[in-house]
Amino acid sequence: MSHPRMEDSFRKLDIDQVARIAVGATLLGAGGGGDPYISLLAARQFRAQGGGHANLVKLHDLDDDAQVICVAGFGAPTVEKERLFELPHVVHAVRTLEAHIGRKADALIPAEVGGSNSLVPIVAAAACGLPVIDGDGMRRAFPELQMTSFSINGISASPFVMTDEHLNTVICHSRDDRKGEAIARAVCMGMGLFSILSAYPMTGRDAKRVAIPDTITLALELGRAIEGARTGASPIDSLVESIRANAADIDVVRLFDGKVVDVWRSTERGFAIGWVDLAPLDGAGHRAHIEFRNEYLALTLDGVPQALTPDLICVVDSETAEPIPTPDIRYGQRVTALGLSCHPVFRTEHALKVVGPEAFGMKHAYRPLAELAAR
Amino acid sequence: MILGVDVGGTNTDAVLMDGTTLIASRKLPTSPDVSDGIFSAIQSVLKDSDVPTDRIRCVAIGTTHFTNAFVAREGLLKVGLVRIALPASSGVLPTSGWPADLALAIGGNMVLVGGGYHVDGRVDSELDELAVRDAARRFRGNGWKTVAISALFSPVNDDMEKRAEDIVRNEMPEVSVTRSSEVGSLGLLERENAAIMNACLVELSARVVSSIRRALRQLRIEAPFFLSQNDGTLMTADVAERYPVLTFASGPTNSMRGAAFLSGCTDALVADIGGTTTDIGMLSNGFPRESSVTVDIGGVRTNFRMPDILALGLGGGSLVTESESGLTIGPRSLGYRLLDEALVFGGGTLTASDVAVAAQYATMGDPTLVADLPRETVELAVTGIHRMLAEGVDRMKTSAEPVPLILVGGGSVLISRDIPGVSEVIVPESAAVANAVGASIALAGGEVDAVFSYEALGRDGALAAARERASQAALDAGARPGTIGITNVEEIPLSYVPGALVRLRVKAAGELALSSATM
Repeated sequence: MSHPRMEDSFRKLDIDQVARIAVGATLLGAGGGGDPYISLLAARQFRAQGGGHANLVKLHDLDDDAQVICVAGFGAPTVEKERLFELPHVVHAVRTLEAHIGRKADALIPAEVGGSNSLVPIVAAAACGLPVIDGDGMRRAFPELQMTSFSINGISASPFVMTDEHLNTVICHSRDDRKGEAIARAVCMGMGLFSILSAYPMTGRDAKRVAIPDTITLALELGRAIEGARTGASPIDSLVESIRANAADIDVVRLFDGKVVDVWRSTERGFAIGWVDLAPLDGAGHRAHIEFRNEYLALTLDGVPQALTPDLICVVDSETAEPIPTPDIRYGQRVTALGLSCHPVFRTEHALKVVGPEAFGMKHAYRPLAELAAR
Repeated sequence: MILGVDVGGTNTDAVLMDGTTLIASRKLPTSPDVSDGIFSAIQSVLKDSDVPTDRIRCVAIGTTHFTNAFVAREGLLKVGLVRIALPASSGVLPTSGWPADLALAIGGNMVLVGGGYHVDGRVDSELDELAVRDAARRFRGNGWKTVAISALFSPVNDDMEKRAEDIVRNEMPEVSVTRSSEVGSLGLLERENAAIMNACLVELSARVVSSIRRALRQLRIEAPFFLSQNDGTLMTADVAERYPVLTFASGPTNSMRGAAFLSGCTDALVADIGGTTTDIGMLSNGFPRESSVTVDIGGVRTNFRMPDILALGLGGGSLVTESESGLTIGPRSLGYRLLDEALVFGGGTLTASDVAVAAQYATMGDPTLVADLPRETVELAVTGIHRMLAEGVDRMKTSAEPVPLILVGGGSVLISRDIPGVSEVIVPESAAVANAVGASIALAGGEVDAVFSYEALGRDGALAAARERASQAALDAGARPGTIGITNVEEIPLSYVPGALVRLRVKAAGELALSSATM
């Protein structure tokens, strides 16, 4: 059971705040992670039907011996938009992992505060009567199990549970998270290309060591900034200021202002791959080229990298500062590309093998955003 | 010969076309009962042209009437909805995200039942037929006249929606049924929204279609009539009566297609300048470039295919105001009061039209009434009008290359100067009735939107299958064999899953087979 001290630190998340988190998380999704709209509607419905608020708990307020479980949607956003959201099997995923490890969860943690998986644990936590941790394993969106700060820091996704709405349930122990990822994709196919995953069981002590803190609050503040930016004189500047004010360790670089002059898309082993070309508004001068693979992964100017994964490339509408995910990017949009430095956990040699440019099949060698910008 | 009619919120335009030649056109105010305005406009063009009615082979009508009715919440029926998706989807109930008053207006009879398919069309859950029957009995008890049915992945497999329709009709023989797969594409919530929107409009559409039928009969026109859909194709009156939602957003498509036709230019920007707003879009191969983003109509999220349009608050009636911070044009407008309240018409309000007359490039009203306007104000305003259009044009361009700009709509007289980034400005004759011309030249079309496996079929095989299905749909919609062509192919890979699953949206269109169409 949770310690009284932990409960004292709970902060209630109301539905307006959840809506702002959805906007901020779309920005942090760096083009990917799926649209949080469905999860937001599910959160609204849960509240409207008399469900409780979700409580946010700071990572450092977790008891060392608390049991933490991660919960996320896993599969194709296109399928999520048909199957929408169903709470009982989300709760079932959490309860099944609890039963399997023989310990009740004291808090849920998001895998990624970026895209729709930022909201899934918030709704799940409210439904399970558990707090949700203000932190996650990415501070952006990545597509695979081994790409979390948990996994990189030695906390395995296994044992993990996958469920669908029929309560078909799979419990998996994998040798490592890459293998776990491969198995989970195969299970997800069998479940109809969308499932709920509960994974990375860990103690409070481990969570404090491996999770990235304060990321839900960051998404909330970015959502607030984007909401306010629309009415301000220079929306991009206010967004940049808000990022700097709320996350001192994030370098922000305004990479490019222009408009989308070309988009190319294809599919490759389940990834939506493609690229976007941006030209300056007056048509003259250098063009920016952004490669994406679900997320925006590399931005180059005349072939010279300006920002590379795992650093975040966020494309926003130049007039409203609203984020534009990769499925929505289209000809003619006036956009600003922002570079946000990733959490330092992803910059080690070991981590770069998992989330660096080469892990996504690109030839660029990773250099940190600040270094590329200084050249 | 073909009669084209556009029923807008303000004006009803009619044109008579003989092949590619415009014989006559007329613009009249829209009447509260839309068929009166259609009657008068058609009567006028027939009188002007002296063409006997038996030479009319087809009447094509574009209208914003149903969109406006939905947005204004006028004449909406209470809807019973059956969603076939359990155990999936229960966390996001039907009408989630709707404005509360609108959700209330269409009822609260939303029933979820077991059933649905997987992404590849295999059964996910068996249809709970008893639950559908019980729902229908409840709807009947409430006296509902219209039912919408949605099902998990019904665009891929519509068998369960059809079976549920049979069950509902068995319980409610008089009921009107909308199946979501007939009005929407992938995305359960958006498709279901479209089905509910359609279901609540069916009484209005029956009334409007029969009044148009009556008006045509009074005019002794025996040719079939069609309504425009949002993709620039036509549907028969019978189909339109059942699917009014398919007329949503057909206006911009008609005006852009009309602009292409009148100018003979198939790749260009189009600016439709009206009384209050300017709609700018991009033509490619004679069809508007479409928007990929979700569109809110009356606050309800849909995924209708709409032309990618940028709307500017610039029109003939836009107010020109001077303040300490400078001169502003629009977005406030006199709208239809232009003819009473603008300076050139003896009123007291300075508008964009007055400025164009004062600068001596537009002719309307009495120019002496604006002769005293300060030259500086006029110059500032004229520069401002052109700058607004130029910025809009630049936003909608897809490359830095200069492209032609076609101006249509009554407000096109506001533009007299070169626009940067534009190779030439084309103002076609009859630009004011481009919408009605667009309606008259519309094609019969069909569409397929489904998920295909490139692993199983190969890319070429999947594309061929989709093309074949779209062409068949166009044929079913009344296109003449031999004229059917593929107008749009879109490949959308499903992300985050293996197996090379790709969502294909393919559209086909062909000329109307008029001889076989009957009423």
